[in-house]
Amino acid sequence: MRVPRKIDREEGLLSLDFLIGFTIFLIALIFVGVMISGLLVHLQSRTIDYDAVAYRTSVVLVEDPGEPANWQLANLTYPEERANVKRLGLAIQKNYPGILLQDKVEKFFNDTSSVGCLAEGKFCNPEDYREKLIFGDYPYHFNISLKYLDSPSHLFTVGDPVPVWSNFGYIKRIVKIQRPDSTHLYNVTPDSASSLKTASFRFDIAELYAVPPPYRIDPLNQNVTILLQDFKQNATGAYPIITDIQICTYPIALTGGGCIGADAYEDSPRMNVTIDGINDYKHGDLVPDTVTNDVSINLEKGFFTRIGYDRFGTIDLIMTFDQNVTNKEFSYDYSSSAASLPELESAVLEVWVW
Amino acid sequence: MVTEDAQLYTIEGIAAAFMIVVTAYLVVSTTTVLTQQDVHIIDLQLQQLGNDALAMMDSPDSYGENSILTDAVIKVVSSNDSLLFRQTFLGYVNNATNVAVPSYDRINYSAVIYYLNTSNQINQTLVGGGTYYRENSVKVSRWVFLPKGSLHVTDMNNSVNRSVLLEVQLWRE
Repeated sequence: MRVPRKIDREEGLLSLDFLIGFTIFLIALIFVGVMISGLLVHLQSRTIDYDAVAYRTSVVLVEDPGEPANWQLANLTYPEERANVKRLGLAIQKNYPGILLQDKVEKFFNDTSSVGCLAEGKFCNPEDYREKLIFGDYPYHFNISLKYLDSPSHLFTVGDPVPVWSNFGYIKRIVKIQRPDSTHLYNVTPDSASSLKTASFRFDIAELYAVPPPYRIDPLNQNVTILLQDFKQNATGAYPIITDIQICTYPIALTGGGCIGADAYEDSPRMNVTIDGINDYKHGDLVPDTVTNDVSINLEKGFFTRIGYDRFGTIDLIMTFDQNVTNKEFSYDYSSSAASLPELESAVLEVWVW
Repeated sequence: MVTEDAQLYTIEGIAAAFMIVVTAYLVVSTTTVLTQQDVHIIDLQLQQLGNDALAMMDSPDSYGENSILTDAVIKVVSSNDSLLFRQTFLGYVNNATNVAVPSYDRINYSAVIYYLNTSNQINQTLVGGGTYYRENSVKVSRWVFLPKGSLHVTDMNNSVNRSVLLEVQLWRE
């Protein structure tokens, strides 16, 4: 208790307790200050994060062929093949950033579904795209679009509508897309002017692969379409009849005649043979496969890989008829008549993430 | 005479002042950092777009042909005709898919070609483009291959294959 006119020796002095307490308070304040600073940067940098994710997504799409590099061949109705697709890059090869493969572009944008995707064999939107392209724990929304510059109506898009009035990350990339080679046309010659009953087509994969990937005819990973035309009646008025179609490893003598028939597989990828544009070729049935005009042979992409060929293979597709149809062996290569070779087309690709 | 008045209140005042200063410093420093990173990202996007456009112009559409970029540079150095470069480059960088909103970017450029002349000096020629004032801009560059025998400027050695350096300054108007 204070007594008037008596000196209080504790007046104006700070106690040690107060000093300790105040020091602890200051240290705590500095810690909190530092932590709040970090929290603020995180909260305020959401658009920066979106931009970074958009950029990363565009890099995966444009500069990476994906994992596996030929994921466009995967049959997504099989769970194992679906699980095997780890990353959805569209590039033709890692050494050619910005050059995209048309098959990958079409599968990425078109084979997509929100409901029933597993049964339909399509990519699930948005789960598969988040898991195999966007990455990250946060469930980002996205919109990815691509437009050909020479044909603006040729537009692809996948994802949600873009929220124009809110924050989003964005990036635009200029790309080129490889348009694969067209149908390869070959002409037969009349029976009277021919000496061979077999029309044989040689696929020298190593030779085809000598050309850089953006301009390459690639029977291993792309569709092969051959049209053999100009069939005519022989001297007795009979049209040629197909008796057999085989795919054989070249040279046959060294491999012991490793051949398989045209109807070896029922499911895709398989070989489709169409006669005169309407009739399917069926080996072994009682109906003669008579050709009055042309034969179209379509090997679905991945067919050669399925039967075990790689980039070093040389393959013969041999069609046998009941009469002579040609004098020479055909070659499926860059000089095949009337086939347009692979070309690049310019396009713009945009990625939005929010 | 010394009393107890105002003794503790002074310390509280100092502490409060300290807290205000620290808070103000944190807010100011946080804002500054964000501004710098935002600008950096816009620069990155523009630079990526410019590099993409030059790389794609330098990819021939068909095997064995000259690229559009090679043809455009040959036109510039031989006849000072920059129309092909201007149309292709601006067509690439300003196009959009128009999925979000109908839009057309407003990017402009100015470009210079550097080459080694017959006296082994570095010479330069303008590729044309817009007039640059004070906009935020980035620069991208690419070595362009010119096959021998192309029509070159008079002080460039025409008898050998050569590469020239194309430097493009980009900005958004």
